[in-house]
Amino acid sequence: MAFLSFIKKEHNFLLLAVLSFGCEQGLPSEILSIYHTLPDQIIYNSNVKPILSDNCFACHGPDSNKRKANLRLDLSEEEAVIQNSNVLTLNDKKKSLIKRLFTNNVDEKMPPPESHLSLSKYEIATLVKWINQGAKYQPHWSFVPIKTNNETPKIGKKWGQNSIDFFIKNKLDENHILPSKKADKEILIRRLSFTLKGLPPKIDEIDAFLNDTSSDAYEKLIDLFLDSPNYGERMAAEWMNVSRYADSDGYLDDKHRDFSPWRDWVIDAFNNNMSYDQFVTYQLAGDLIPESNTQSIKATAFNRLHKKNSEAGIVFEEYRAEYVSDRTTTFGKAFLGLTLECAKCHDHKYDPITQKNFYEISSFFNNTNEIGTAVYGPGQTAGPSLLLADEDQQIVIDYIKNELYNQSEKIVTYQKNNKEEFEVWLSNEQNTFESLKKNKDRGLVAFYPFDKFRKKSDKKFLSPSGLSSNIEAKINEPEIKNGYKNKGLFINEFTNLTLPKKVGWFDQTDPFSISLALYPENRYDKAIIFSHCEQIRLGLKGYSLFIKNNKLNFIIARSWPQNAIEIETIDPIPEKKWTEVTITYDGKGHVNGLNFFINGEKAPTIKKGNELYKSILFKPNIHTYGFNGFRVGPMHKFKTFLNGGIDELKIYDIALSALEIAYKHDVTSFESTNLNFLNESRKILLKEYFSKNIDDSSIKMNNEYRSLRKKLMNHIDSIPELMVMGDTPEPRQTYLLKRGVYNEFGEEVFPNTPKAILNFDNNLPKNRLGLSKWLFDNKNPLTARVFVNRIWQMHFGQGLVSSSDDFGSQGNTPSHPELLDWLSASFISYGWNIKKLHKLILMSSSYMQESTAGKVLQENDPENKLLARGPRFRMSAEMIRDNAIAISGLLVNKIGGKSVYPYQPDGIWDLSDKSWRYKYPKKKDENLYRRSLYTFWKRSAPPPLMTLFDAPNRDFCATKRTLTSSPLQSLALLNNPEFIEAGRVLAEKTLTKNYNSEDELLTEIFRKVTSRCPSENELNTLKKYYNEEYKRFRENYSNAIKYISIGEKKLNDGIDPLKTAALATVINGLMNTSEAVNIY
Amino acid sequence: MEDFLNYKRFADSRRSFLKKSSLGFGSIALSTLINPSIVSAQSVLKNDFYYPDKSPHFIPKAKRVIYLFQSGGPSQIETFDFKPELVNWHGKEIPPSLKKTQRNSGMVEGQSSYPLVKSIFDFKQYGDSGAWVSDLFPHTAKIVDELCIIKSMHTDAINHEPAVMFMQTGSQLSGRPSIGSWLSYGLGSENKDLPNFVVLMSKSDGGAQPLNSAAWSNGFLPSHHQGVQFRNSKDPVLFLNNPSGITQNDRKRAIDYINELNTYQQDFYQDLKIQSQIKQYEMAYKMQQSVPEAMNVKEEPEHVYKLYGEDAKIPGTFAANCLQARRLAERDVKFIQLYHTGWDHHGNLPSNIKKQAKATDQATAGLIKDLKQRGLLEDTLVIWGGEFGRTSFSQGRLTKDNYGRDHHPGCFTMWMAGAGVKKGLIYGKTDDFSYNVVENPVHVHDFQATLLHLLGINHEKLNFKYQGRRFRLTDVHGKVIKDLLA
Repeated sequence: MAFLSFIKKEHNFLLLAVLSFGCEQGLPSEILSIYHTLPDQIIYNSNVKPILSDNCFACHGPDSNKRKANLRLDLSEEEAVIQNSNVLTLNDKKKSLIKRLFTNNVDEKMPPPESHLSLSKYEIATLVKWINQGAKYQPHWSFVPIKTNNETPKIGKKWGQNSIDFFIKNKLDENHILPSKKADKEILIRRLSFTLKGLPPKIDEIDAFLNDTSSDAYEKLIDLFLDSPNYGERMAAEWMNVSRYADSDGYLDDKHRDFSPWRDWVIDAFNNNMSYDQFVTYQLAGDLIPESNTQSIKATAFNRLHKKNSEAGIVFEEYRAEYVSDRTTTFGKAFLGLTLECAKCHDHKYDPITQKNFYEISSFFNNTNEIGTAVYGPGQTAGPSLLLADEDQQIVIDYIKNELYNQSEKIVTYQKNNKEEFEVWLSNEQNTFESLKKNKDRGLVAFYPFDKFRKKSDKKFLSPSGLSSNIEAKINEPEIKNGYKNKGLFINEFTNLTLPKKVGWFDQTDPFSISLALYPENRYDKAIIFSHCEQIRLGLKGYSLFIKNNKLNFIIARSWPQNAIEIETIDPIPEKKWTEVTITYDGKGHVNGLNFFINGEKAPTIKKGNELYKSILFKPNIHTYGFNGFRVGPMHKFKTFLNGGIDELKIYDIALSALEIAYKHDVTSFESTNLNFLNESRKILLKEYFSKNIDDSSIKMNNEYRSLRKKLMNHIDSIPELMVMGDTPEPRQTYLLKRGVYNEFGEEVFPNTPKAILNFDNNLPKNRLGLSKWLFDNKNPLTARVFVNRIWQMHFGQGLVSSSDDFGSQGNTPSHPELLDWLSASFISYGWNIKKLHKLILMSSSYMQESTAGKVLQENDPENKLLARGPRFRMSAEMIRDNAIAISGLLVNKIGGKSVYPYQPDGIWDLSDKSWRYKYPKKKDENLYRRSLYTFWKRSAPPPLMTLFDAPNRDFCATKRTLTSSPLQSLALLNNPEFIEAGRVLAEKTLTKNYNSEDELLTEIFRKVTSRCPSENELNTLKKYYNEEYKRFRENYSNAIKYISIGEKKLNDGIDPLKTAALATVINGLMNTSEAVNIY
Repeated sequence: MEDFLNYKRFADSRRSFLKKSSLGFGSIALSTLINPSIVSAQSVLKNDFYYPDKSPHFIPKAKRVIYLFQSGGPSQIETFDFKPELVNWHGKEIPPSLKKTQRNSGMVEGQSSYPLVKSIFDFKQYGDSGAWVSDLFPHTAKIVDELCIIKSMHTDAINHEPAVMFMQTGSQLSGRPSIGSWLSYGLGSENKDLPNFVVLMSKSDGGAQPLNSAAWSNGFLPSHHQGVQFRNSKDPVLFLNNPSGITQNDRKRAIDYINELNTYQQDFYQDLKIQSQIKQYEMAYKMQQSVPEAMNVKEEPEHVYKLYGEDAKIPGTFAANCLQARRLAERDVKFIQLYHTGWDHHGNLPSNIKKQAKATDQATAGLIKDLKQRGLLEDTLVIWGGEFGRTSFSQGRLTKDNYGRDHHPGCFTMWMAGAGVKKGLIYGKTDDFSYNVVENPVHVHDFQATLLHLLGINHEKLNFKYQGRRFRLTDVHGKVIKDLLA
């Protein structure tokens, strides 16, 4: 509270005067002198709100929990009345506020000392003047509807190209400043090329532009660059930061994943000039739009680009909730320019966004069928996912699916029409009995009666098979007790049974059945009974039986809960009693081919999951933990069937029919009660039995169906998938999470948006599509402003709202509010046409000004807020590297594809010594020379060159970069082999051309690096430099060879290595100058 | 107004160049890697805690920190938190009423029983303080009177990465600035030509949990505050070495020419930032000499190696890094962050923890002794500890000579030594099971607040406004534990 020091006691009576007269009389002289320099009219939004928000709102703002003295300074009295809010407002506290600004009393002073906040004299004077002028509030500027453009403002005669300039010039006039003159063509083309393509202009492009004297030469250039495919790359590079794009999951293990198909979708969308509303709607709700297709679904991967934790000890739901929250905050920042994350744990302290609002928005993103862990086995993708079949693959898929359809129709028709044979077979009752008896063991591939146990060592036992073809089961620490039949196997904490290898080895295209008797000792929350699958972090790949509240749950999965089918009994099985359970699966990949039989009878069940489409068989890769086949015993994350009993385990390689199961369950009673054998229900079972066992044609047709399924599966198995959005049929219930903690539920909430921004129209669907429509409602005050501002930032280095990532109370107010609105309204009226928006901005005289700042301008407006000069800013990390490889001609200008591995210093990825750790691939191919947006982005160890030059780290959505400079950057520019190689290759290229003089040679390379011709001084320096370098390399030939041998690109043997080396070092020097890394 | 429209194209550049430039290296105050220009820095930092001259809030006790991070979570029960009562409970099920007082990780969800387990290693009391130390740490035992042992640490996180991030950045989610970055931002540098925040990683012997470079990230602070990893490789700092064929003399000449060209450009564009860029090049040049010099442990005499142990001769070991850390402390690097991985003993704890103790014990004690005899311990703060503790019950099967322990956020032990902390203090107490803190709890944010305090910083004042909110290392929590201060 520095300002207090000057307030002496004798001021107090003066202060009373302030208080009583409400005017400037009696103000301390230091405040008073500032008071008089303040604008005549103090405006709440631009002058006052930033002060109040930053210093007062935390305790007297929107957050109801932290509000002190029931006072809100963010609302006017009228607003409080409208909101029906029972709070005090400034009107109630005016006098005490002024008093508390000036007091010495630490108990009264505001802001209180413990907040570590204090007001400057300027700020106090502003507040006092505002209060003296009546303390008029205004709605927050960014929540006010955008002013529509009734008329296009007319530009003045003297200066300006389009309407933008009207606004800029007005402001300059107010400040008595003249705009700068138009930049030279060489500078303009360079600026434009980087800003639109992220690449330097080519020499012939520069020459063509310099020679084009037509009046629309500049406009044609804009069109040319906007049409370049590199434009899409440049825009995508920015959008990858917004979307937190990465090629790995992040967190501890940082497993790799491939989202490049989404990145390529973004590039295409920009290049095709997809309108912004469509671009965003596709990404938010491409799966929900009426015209939904592969491309639009692919776009929704935007919502899955968050980090994903695969650490073994995590509680999955904690991280699932985190992903939902990440989607929510990304939505807020990317599209609304708001920091919603503040409201995750409490009401927002500065903006009118309640904690309830946060969870209401989050409910739009809470309906995917996923769990919080990553699945990372070979070819596994955490659902929901999209199969990325290419055209040829899709043709094959469609073909086989059509065949499958025909085959199933054939089966249905056959079943309908061929009744005669069945009737004949049925007419001989003896026939059916004999058949059942004869086929008793049909399909039986394994049988373990657990009646005999042979001790191998202290704890290890073997239990023989009931079939001669099987070898013994290995059991560690069995508890042997009376079983279902004779002895049975009981389970203690450490009991572990494994069947011989390949017993029970079924893919999802194989029919199989498993029967066993179970004895639950008590009620089990959740326990695993047997598994033929990998652990849950590998998606329970395989099949497995669980007991949950004593209901049985059988899962067949590729990567559960995605690409999985499961079935659960509705009734629990009894405790302390044996129950015979049979599971049958028809091998057709659908959940309806999966059934439970309890004590010989089909059990009522709930079925979940779609069709299986990839193989469920174990395949090893770096992430798998080996496979132990059919097991009983605990598995990672699941308790064992403690003290429970298992007996009479039988595995069949067919789907048993209901009749067989009933028969096997109790042969004696089955036979004795057989007098009613031919009642109608039995007849249905017999029909099933007949077609599965007796009727060769039926058997053959079904086998053909399965072999088609197998073909389809084999075809699909290697096709990659992409994580995308997809909602469960019933939305998940969403709750306000107290303090943001995943399992501390508050009230239930439903899809809605903060009314302070715009009401959520009741007619909109309450899903992500509705949310997109809300976003692009013309009345939404934020969407257009936020995006237009970001495009402005892209071209000028900073936005009209310099806090482009915060349009809330704590953000900056726009430097040119009318211009922002005019641009936003234009953008909307042009149908959210992005290229048109670029052109509008780039065609302005404001943009075309030269960036050179004279001393006065430098001092008065160092940040160029008034735009009396053109843009000037450090290039992005991507541009710096791309520039080097582009000017050398090394650039492989290929659009899209998988992420690549350019040069990287050794050891960057060595943050782990895990056996599965990823090693940085050192590939010597064209991918060394691809643009930086394609560089593999590993979250735990991002590309060092990129982070060194301030690229956002992709942990969260980022819409703005803080640019720094450091000696580490200088070292990189000087010594990075990529840059050395680029310099050498450019030297070679230049030296192979015909040039008449050293001047010409050096001018050429100077132009390559800076896009302009050197001055005489510069040329002289270059000459001196070049000759000195030549001389020293001549004195040490081997140094020249060493230097030019850096990099994978082969040397050009036809050139004097001394010249190459000398020129290469000069180029490297030039590439280290300011102009090579800045946009002017 | 003419001033805005007029410019002098390349006029007299040469003359001004001679005046302003160049390579008067001696004259350049490398007010550091900390003080490079931030583009429009003033707008970013205005109204925030930001001292261009980087002075602390009050007189600091510590000038620098060496943080020996024991990643993976060393068991407190086998190291410093002696629990004789566990002998009676050994093998018995943990009372469910006790178990549920802490969150357990998903790793032990599948277990049906949770038997308590005593330490397999014996404990003895040492020094005047009478601190109990297990037989795992014979060397550390000898220096206990230098240590301030906190037995009552507790954290919010239960899995490695969130817990490491929480310890190092105050937030479980990656993306916030690390302690070293905060200090670099808040304090600047004493050193003229070494980075402010240096990271050293020791290689482990396999299977250790990986680290995430986000642990030494600058987060939203300007990127020159990120930890600079000193690597055990040809290029100890990324891109430090000149390319082959370039000598240091050539480099000097190149920088002269770059600066000359930059000066022309500065005159043309009247861009003041170019001046800062010129400085960066001069600093880069100086770093090329100072980093290898700081890294050159070969010049250390034999008796020093006796202190740290023979491993110190093998580059990349924890011992070698401890020695390295001392050299950096001597050169006034502000924050030296060591990482030793491999303390994650879910199973086979008895044999695994022995290995880690052997790899770290002597060098740790050696470092303390070495700092002390050089007078550096007076203004250097040394910290030892991991991201969380381990459970009192066994993970996996408890047998006669084997067991494991899972992650445990409820309590763990850390120690500090040196500048500003009470020597020979044993602070805080856990229950008989080392399951909960029963006396003087120290939350991670308290620890961070205390650490900043020792460096002369009020943790509530060191903040950075980002997206409208003032962020700080301790979030909205943390209190300085005054009892720890000397």
